[in-house]
Amino acid sequence: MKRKLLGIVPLVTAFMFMLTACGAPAAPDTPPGVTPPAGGTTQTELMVLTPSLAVSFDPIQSNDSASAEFARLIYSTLVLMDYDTFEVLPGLATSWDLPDPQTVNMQIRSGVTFHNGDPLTAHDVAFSLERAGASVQMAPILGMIDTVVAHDNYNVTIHLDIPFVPILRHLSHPAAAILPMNYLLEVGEDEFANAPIGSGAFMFDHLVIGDQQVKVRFDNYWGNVSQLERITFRVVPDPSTRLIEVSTGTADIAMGLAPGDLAGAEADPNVTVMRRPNLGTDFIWMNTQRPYLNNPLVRQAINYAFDTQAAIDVVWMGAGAIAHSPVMPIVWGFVEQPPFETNLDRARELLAEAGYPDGFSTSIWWNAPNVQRQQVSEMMQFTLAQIGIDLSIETMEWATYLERSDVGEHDMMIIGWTTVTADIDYALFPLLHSSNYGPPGNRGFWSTPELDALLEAGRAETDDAARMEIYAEAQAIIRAEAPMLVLRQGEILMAVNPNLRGLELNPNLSHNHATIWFE
Amino acid sequence: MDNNTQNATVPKTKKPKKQSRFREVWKRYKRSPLAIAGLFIISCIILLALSAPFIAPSVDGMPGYNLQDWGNVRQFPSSEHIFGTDHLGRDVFSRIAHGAGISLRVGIVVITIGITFGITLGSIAGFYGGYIDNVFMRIIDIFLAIPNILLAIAIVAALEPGLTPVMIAVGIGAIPIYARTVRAQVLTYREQEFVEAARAAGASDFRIIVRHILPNCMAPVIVEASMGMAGAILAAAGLSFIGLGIEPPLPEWGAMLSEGRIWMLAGYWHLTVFPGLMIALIIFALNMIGDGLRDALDPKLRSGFSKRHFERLKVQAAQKIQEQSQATTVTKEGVA
Repeated sequence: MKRKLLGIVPLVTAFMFMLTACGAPAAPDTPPGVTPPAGGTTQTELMVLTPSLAVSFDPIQSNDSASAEFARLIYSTLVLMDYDTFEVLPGLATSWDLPDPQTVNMQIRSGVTFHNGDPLTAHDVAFSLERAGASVQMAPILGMIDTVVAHDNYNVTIHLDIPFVPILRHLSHPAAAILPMNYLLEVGEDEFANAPIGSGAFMFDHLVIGDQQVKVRFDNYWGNVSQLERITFRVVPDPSTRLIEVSTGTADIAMGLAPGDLAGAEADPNVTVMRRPNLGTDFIWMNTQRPYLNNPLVRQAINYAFDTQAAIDVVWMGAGAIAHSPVMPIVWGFVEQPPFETNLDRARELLAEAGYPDGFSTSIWWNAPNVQRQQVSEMMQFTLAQIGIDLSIETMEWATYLERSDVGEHDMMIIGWTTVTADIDYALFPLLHSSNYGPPGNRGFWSTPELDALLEAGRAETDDAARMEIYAEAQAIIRAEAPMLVLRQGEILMAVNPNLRGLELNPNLSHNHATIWFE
Repeated sequence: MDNNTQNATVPKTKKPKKQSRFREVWKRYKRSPLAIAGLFIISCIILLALSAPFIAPSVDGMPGYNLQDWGNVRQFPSSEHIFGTDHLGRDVFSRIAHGAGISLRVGIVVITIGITFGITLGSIAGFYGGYIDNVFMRIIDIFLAIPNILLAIAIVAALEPGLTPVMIAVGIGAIPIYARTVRAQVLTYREQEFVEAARAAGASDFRIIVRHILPNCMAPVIVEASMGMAGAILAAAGLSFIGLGIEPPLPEWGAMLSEGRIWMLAGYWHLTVFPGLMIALIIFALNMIGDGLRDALDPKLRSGFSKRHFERLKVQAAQKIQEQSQATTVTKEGVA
């Protein structure tokens, strides 16, 4: 009842703000990727099939890509990112300056309203960012936010705990969404998560738990109003079933195509396959505090032994690209490292040099039911047997997998990481800084004082060239110490309705469906 | 209706000649072509399991079922790989052959666990009766109240995935059925004269149970075991299919089916068809053997068990009547 009433409010207030919305200058305000169709869309409802729904509708409660994708449509952020150049673009903030690496001044766009009709002001910004900065779940992304001061309705200053240069890229993450302060304080956090309100292109309509989640268009959106009227996300756990539904026309987008189905989907005239390299990587952690693996020569040997190109071809059917570093090539700060050319003899030499000419026994973990990781484990076992390492394979489900690796019970484990901010700090600091052992990301339990110092200096350096140099050194250390075996750079594989247009795949996996239209 | 069939069969039962129990059972067993087919299939599978180390020997310490060839993945069946190769380039036939041993081992171990504990619990409960019976049977009832596969999933989840936990889990699930079967049998024998006689002669309870009662109870247990083995193999394959069974790269058939499943839409049928066919074959064969044994070991068991057997009994009776050209007409007089 309450939800319905709230839905009507924006319609009533729409006219009040229409003038301001239309009067805003077009070019810098346009969110990236929006190409309005000439003759309008032929279909106004979008059905998206997803492996899982958002864990929480509160943008700071869960750091998973389904939640980020939901937040992307419902809420707005201060800045947006161009996913071709990774430039920061204006969002709710129209301009900004960074007087020092610990301070950001921002001017907030006027005339923006929330779905319930409340105007969005600097006070909402201050409230939302301070709340996000205190969130445990979002600590790696926004934990550096200390206080946010609203000077008037349209000017804020963000103060950071530490000098942190990539802050603008972090503010483009959906977790930094601006929430309606008055509404949230009035209904409380729990009710807010049930009936979220933002200022995004779509309004939350309803949820059928474990099945589907429906969003409807917000006509008073501050950017370009979507051509679609309704977006439904429906859960279909099996990737092949998702593909079949798109092929038969009962859905428009199948997220996460199985590599095995790729060839079939590309040959299917009823399906268009969309692909794009993403900011994610699949890699194998080597727990550097375990016997044998604590020796960098052993870790190098394993890197030399394993044929990652074969793994990409066999396991992922060629999807993705070979990578030699946990930093993906499209991430800001990437410096090419010399690859570990597959060479079993070199691997044997290194093992002998490390003092294990006859090999040893160790283990690798994968989490069921991730069949790609299972196949990598089996390939790794087969490879390492050839250099005398006896590798046993252990399976567990996801929660146990994290719980046991949080405390470092594993030897090797296969996992992924997405550098959602597209800045090298987020690719390295959570994974390899000694302050992040276990849950935040450092499951290799690896640290050297040199790298710690470089990673700390890198996030505080304001000069891009100097910053780049710091990270070049850091990446060289990582290459030499090899705490991980990088399997590949990930690739987004999506099967869509052939008439679907206007969808720009977002390398950080939270795609903006509001720009879609149908031909 | 019961009257009719009994009238038809009872006079036909020949008096057994003096011959060994085994020959007598075999003679009745081989009358059923399906039972013979079952035995033949199982023999082939046992032979396959035994010859697996020769069909696919290990190379450089890498077992024959895990010889990967990444340049040669998902090949369709050919003269070189008669069942094709799998997603990591391993020969599917080699894996099937090694998998046969795993399935048979699972079946045998599970049945051994089930029979050992089932007979012990069932015979003690049946023999002593009273509160021992009550306590034992209520525990069994608790186990029976939980679906077998759920019980197995819970046990495997509590232990960790692997072949041994799966065998233990399915084995525990198999105990109740044997316990109940044995208990029912013991109840019918414990008051009979030969038991009285043994007791009068001063035999201990243990001796009475093991030497006098249990041998008489074995027929239904053997039948149950051959059927139960099929169930156990299927349950283990099911657990492997959902990822709770064996650890890769062991070629358990259920796990192979599960691994091949993701390639089905892409048209690689041989990754699922062959392991699926093998599971179907071994289950079919064991069930046929179970049916044959049931008929052979104790013809009395037939009518009491299922409608299917009752129907078959009627057909057999009618055949015999024809064979012997007796002008017996089955009348309808018993029908109300």
